[in-house]
Amino acid sequence: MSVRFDSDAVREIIIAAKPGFQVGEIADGDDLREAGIDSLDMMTIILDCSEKADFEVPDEDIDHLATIKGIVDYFNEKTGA
Amino acid sequence: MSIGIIDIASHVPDGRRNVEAMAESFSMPEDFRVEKLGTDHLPVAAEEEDACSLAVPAVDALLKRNPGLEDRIGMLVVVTQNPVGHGLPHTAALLHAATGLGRDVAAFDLSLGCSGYVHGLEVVNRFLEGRPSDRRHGILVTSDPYSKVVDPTDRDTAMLFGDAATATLIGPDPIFEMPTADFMTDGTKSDAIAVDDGVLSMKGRKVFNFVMSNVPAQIERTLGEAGLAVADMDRFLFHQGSRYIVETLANRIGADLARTPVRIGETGNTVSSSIPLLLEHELVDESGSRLLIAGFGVGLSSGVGVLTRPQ
Repeated sequence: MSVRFDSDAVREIIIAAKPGFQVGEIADGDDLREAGIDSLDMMTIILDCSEKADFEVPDEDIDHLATIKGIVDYFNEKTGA
Repeated sequence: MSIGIIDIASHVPDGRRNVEAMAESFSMPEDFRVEKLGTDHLPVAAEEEDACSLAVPAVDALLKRNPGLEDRIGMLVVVTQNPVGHGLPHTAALLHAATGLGRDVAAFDLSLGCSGYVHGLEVVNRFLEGRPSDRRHGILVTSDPYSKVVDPTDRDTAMLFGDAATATLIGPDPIFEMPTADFMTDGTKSDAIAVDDGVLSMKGRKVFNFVMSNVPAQIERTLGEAGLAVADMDRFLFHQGSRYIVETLANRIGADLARTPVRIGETGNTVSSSIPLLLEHELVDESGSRLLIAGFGVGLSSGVGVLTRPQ
């Protein structure tokens, strides 16, 4: 059975990947990089989401994953959750 | 009879590239360079240097401080991905001549990158176990002048790789032995780190995913076979790919960061030399008796080993 993503789940993953990051201060539609998540942090976040969803994200899809909302929608769509 | 690591010598060339200046030219934020890459300066071999000449000072140092060693050496292995010329003759044969070792020596290259030291240790340990007692010492060399293949305008690689060579003396009555080791390869991802037309390219995300998805389980397996757990280990000596990859891997397995040294600032990622450079410190500092070593990279491949001081 597919894991359904929501904003809270992604926020937990962000905090685990970047301890101390003030995830509560950003909105679901805010650009994560502009908020201080760098390219390496993003690698960890996307990997953690991929493992949770059991779905490998191809390189060409990375640009769709710039916001919390983008991540939630992407994984729910790809996994049919 | 127990075979393992007796001594390690290294050679880091004098040439330096200033990473801070490079980062500025790439418009890379300073905190990213410091906190994520971790490199300040990168050692660079001189233009005329190669994998053989880079290794000679390390082997010479080993021979000098172990008198009579020449007559007991039965094996010389060179781990490199930048062999002299086109790899024919093999660099180990050239190094054999350059260091004046005797003829009763098996000398060959291992074509591996950042996982090469762990592979090399296992190969040399097992080979020496079957040799006559008067030839049961071997030298495992790592020597990879990556500056020869790094494009200084490539942001993904130019600020990471440094040149260095190490020589590890392996034989009876060791300071560290390797009771368990585990190896893996995923050749379907071999394009992640490759040299094409003489220039290195690296797909960082592919490498990162390979490491984080596989090496933690491999570590658990290797420790389990030795009857040990993460909490039992004094030190975690991970390949120094970047500060971020070392610290992320440590966090993934629940290792104490204080027990996970990051010494990349003045050497950069020295490929197969990064683990023996860390180990060199452990031979001097006797506080660690249980070490975990893990190398990962080109192949993609990884090797994990447990090192313990014999009882």
